[in-house]
This record gives sequence, structure tokens and C-alpha cells, in this order.
Amino acid sequence: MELIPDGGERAARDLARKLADEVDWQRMCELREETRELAVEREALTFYRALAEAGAIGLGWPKPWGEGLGATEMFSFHEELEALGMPGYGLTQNEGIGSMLLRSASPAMIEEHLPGIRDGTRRYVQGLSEPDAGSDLLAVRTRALREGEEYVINGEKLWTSSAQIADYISTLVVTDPEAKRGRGLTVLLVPTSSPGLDIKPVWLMGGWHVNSCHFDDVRVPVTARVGEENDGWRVLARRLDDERAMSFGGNEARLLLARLIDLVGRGAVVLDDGQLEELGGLVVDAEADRLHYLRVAAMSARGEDTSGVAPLNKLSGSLLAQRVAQFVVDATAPESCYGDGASPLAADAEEALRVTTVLTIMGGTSEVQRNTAAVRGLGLPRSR
Amino acid sequence: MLDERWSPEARELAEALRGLLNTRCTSGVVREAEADELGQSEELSRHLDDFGLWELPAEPELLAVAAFELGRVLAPVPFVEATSVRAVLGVSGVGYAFDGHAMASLPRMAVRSDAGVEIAPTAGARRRASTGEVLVSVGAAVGEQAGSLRDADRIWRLARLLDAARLAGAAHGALELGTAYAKVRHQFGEPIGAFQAVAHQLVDAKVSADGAELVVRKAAWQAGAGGGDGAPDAVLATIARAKSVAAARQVATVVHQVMGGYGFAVEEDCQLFSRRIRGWSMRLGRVGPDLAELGRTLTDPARRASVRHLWHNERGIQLPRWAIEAAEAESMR
Repeated sequence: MELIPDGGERAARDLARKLADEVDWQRMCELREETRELAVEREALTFYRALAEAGAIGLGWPKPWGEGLGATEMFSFHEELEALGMPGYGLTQNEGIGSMLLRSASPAMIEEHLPGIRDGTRRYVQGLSEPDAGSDLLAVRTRALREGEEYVINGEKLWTSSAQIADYISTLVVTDPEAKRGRGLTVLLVPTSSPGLDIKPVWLMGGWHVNSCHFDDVRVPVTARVGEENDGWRVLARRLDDERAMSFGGNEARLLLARLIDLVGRGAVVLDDGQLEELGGLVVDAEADRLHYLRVAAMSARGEDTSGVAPLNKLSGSLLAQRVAQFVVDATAPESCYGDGASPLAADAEEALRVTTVLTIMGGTSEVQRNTAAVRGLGLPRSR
Repeated sequence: MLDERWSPEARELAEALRGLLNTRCTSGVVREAEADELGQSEELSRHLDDFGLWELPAEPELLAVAAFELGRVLAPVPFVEATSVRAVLGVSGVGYAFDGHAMASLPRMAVRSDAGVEIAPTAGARRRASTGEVLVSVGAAVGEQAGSLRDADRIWRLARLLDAARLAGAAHGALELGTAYAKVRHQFGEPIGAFQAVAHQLVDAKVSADGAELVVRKAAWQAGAGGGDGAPDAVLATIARAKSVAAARQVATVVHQVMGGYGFAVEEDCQLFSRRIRGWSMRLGRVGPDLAELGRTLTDPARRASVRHLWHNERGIQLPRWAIEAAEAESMR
């Protein structure tokens, strides 16, 4: 057992600390204003540029594309960045799609896209869900018809995060409607500037908007295809595993608890005995959650199959984040009735209570996670 | 590299011990122990003696992984009760009795005193606990001074770790039982594990049981390789026990629900697990006061600064620069 980061893990963590140390309270307020103006989730382009300038995007990709950092080093970097409250959603999205390209795309495609992700000039998002294909992702209906050396796409993607600031949408489409479920799907990289692609905002109570993306005879060359035609589900499967390996609220929950603990120590918030006991209980669950998260990274680093335990990490973190947000809202009441920022922690807790609502839904609902864990982790028969 | 697994030595011990227990500690042995005068299995004790369990080096990972494996099969031997005192004071056959009761099967017991720890003959009214074990209620025992206040504190912290390890093991044992049942029990023409109402409860129980095992491992690691004094610090000792108690109770409830009437029947093993989980969870007292103390430790800046290995922090709880500045502004208001 080793629970203290080694040299490489420490270096990755310290890089995150260095980036966060440049952000004082005034700068954080500016970053948040930028996030609000962009109407995105936990992303600020000026911070993203700072990440790029520090060479901190795609560290886990093999050379020459990245720095070849291992899974536990990437864990140390991402954990620290999120636990220090940096807006890192775009980083995980772009790195995830870059990793998918490295696994599945042609050398020419990798050559075309990876440098732009690494230097922060190009941004990528996922177009998976549709109005009638949420948890049942295999029910997607967006069609791509092959016409010569082009695909012609028609359909609608929904809940597409950050499409308003993206250059490409990694889009799951149906290329063989006659094939068995999951066999006729393909992943295409569609430029957001494509004629016929209409991106409309869908505002969310978290404070940002996602998008509905309407494809009306959108044409992309066949070279926009990631992997083989009709092999999209396999291309995507590892990408979805990667998502479950992310912290889904646990890092932010620990930061919120740490800030409350600090304010109590300063005498600015008072907790009664019952609340102290409840705080202790959340500290306990935050520890267990963090070890779930670490376990997935350590298993990945050892090349072990994480499909049975990664869903446990997502289940744990998302639920913890909701409980912590509610606790800190209670502890900072009545200030937390207001989101106006007069009390920064109370306002952040109020926001967290809204934001965390979706953590048990996005990135695969808790029900889907439980289905996966039941089969892959417990060996139970597939359920419906 | 970050590695959440037990050390290679601990894994080797766990594997060998599991092999022995699978044949020597069947549920029949557990049931026989319930009819035993002291609620123990002398025969299993002898097998474990041959195995070298009672002379394990006082390395926290070895002790914790052994407690986990023994808990997994509900081994009716006083390992958890005797080991914290043996590891700290080097004396055998002495049961931990800081919380008002001692194991009747151990000849002597360790109690707290103003100066630290005293050891006295195990004496007092014998009572059979709901776990099937026989305990002795400890009154005002008069014994011989055997350890300092510091020793007492170490024993207290190690007892929590071992208690947590046993409960985490029992949680996993119960979860394996319930999961196996859900695969073979058919209703409506399907194994009940194919119904989400059943499968999802088992998954939630696994989130907790795995969480408990992971915090137990971390506390054991801190006690030894993590620069500890042979016992985890109070914070991680509390975390390990609190998580294990909550997880084991959740698992017991879920597995009973999954196993239905059969789980409620005495002839099935489910009740062996749930009765012990529920009894052992109370052995060191209610968890609540420990959690409140954890809350007080962390909200006191001076005490918080010396807390080691909480979450991702090496020491204390680090806040980002922006959050410190925001808090300074907020606390001036």
C-alpha cells in the first residue's frame, strides 16, 4: 500500500498547485464572471489558456502528443486542480476526447487534432444524448448517410455541454439502421461551423446552458470518422469508462467542507453539537469517497479492469456532493437563502445545491451506474 | 506509485488465512460456538495457534488484514479483543476492556486507570451477548499498573482499527452471501438479482462495504508505513470505525431484504452475520460521540493543523489561496 504520492505524482500535483496559486480571490471572481458570461459549466477560457501555456493539457497522452504521465499522476493532477476549485471541466472533456482519438482514430486524424487540443486552441465536446435517447444511449436516431466521400447527417443531439464554445462535436450517429442494437453506430467529428448545424441553448438551473444541436443535411468528409464505420459503440465504450473514473463531485464536496471547517475555526460560522456530529459523518464519507476515486486510478495504472468499480466511484461522489451541499447550506443559513455573494461560502453552497442536483444524472445516471456495477462488479445477471 | 492494496506480506497472510478459515471456520463452527460455554471455538483457536495467528508481528497491516479475514467468516475467537493490548504492551491473553465489558474467554483484561492501563483478572457477571459470545461486565476492577497514558491511547486507537477491520470483513462476508443468493434464487422465472429493485440495493451496499475496507486499509497503512506509532491517529481510527459500522449495518439490512424469509430463518446463515454485525457495532460504544469529536478536532485550527493524511492532505486541511482570501473577507464582516 502506498498512499503518499511518489515523485511523479507529486510533480503533477505541484503543477496544479502552482496554477491554482496564481488565482487570488479577485481573479477567482473574474473567472467566475467569465464562466457566467460563457454560460458553461466550470470552465473559463482564460484559465484554459493558462493551462495550455503551462503545458498542462494532455499530460497523460503518450509522447510526442503529451508527456506520457501515468494514471496515478493524472489522478494527482486532476484531483488537486478540482480540490483547489479551479474551473477544469473543459480540460477533462478535451483530454477525454483526445484520448479517444489516440485509441481509435487514424494517424492522420490524430495528427490533425491533437496538437490543437494540447495548445488550447481547439475545443471538443461530446454529442451523445438525444431527446429520446438518454440512459438508453443505443436508441440514438441521428442518421449519417454515406454519399460518396461524405456523410450527410440529420437528427438532433440534446444536453450537449459547452457546444457554444466548441470547435468540434464528437457525434454518435447511426450509420446502419438495420444492424442489431449497438452494431450500426459510428462516431464523427463534426465542426460546429458546419452549414446546417443549428446550436440552440437549453438553460439549466445550475446557472449555465447546454444545447440542443439540430443537424439538417450537415455534411462531413469520411475522414471525420473516428475508427471504423459501425464500430462507434466500441470507440465510445472506453470513453464512458474514463468518465466514471473522474471525480463526480467528491473533490468539490471536500473543498466545500474544508471551507466550512475553516470558517467555523474563524468563528464566522457556529455549529451545534448535532451539526458537529453530522460534519464528522460527512468527513468520514468524503474519505471513503476519495479512496474509491483513488482506487480506480491505481487500478488503471496497473492495467486492471475498472469497469466493476468505476461506477461505484461515480455513485459515491455524486451522492456525497449532494449531501455536503445540503449540509453547508444549512450551516450557513440564512445567508444561503441568497445567491448574491455577500457571504461567498453561503452563495457557493447555494449554487452547489443547485449544481449537484444533476451529478446523479449526467455522465450516466445512478441507475445506469448501478446496472453496470451489478453485472461487472457483483456478477449479477443483466437487469432491465 | 499510489497503491490502495494491502502490502504484499499482508496479502500473503490474508490468502493463507482465508484458505485455513474456509475449511476450519464453516458456519457450523460458528453455530457450535454459540452453544459453547464461553461462546468460542477452542478447536478453531488451536488451528489458528498452529497457523501462528496469536504470535503475528505487531505490524498494523498484518493485524488489520487478519481481523478482516476473521470477520469475513465470523470466526468465534477473541483475536480482535486480545490483539490491541498484545501489540502495545506485549502481553497475551488480555482482553480490551476500556468500554465496560471484556471477553470471558480471555483470562485477563485491560482497563483504563488515571495513570494509563491496568491489567486485572477477568472477573464479573458473565452475560451472553446477542452475538453469541460471552462477555463479562467490568465493574471497578483493581489491577496492576501495566502501561502509561500514552499506551492507553495507543490501545484505544488500535482497538478501533481492529474492530473496524472485523466489521468491514463481516460486511463483505454478508454481501457475498446475499449476492450469491440473488444469483440462484428464482422468482417470476428469473434470478432475483436480475431485478433492479434487488440488484441496486446490493450495489449500494457494495459502495459502502468497499468504502469501509478502503478506509480500514488506509488507517492500517497510516499506523505503520504512514509514520504511525503502531496504531492509526485518532482521526483515521474514528473514520475507519464509523465507516465500517455504518457499512456493515447497511449490508446486514440489505442482505436480509434480499434473502427474504429465508434470511430470517435461523437455519440460514444470514442471521449469523446480521446478529454479529449489529452486536459488534455497539461493542466500543455509539459512534456519534466519536464523530462529534472528529468535528471538534477539525474545526479547531490548532488541532486541525496536526491532523495527518485526511483526504488528499498530508497534514492539516489545505485551502486554495482564493478561498483563504474569501474567508478572511467573510470573517471580518
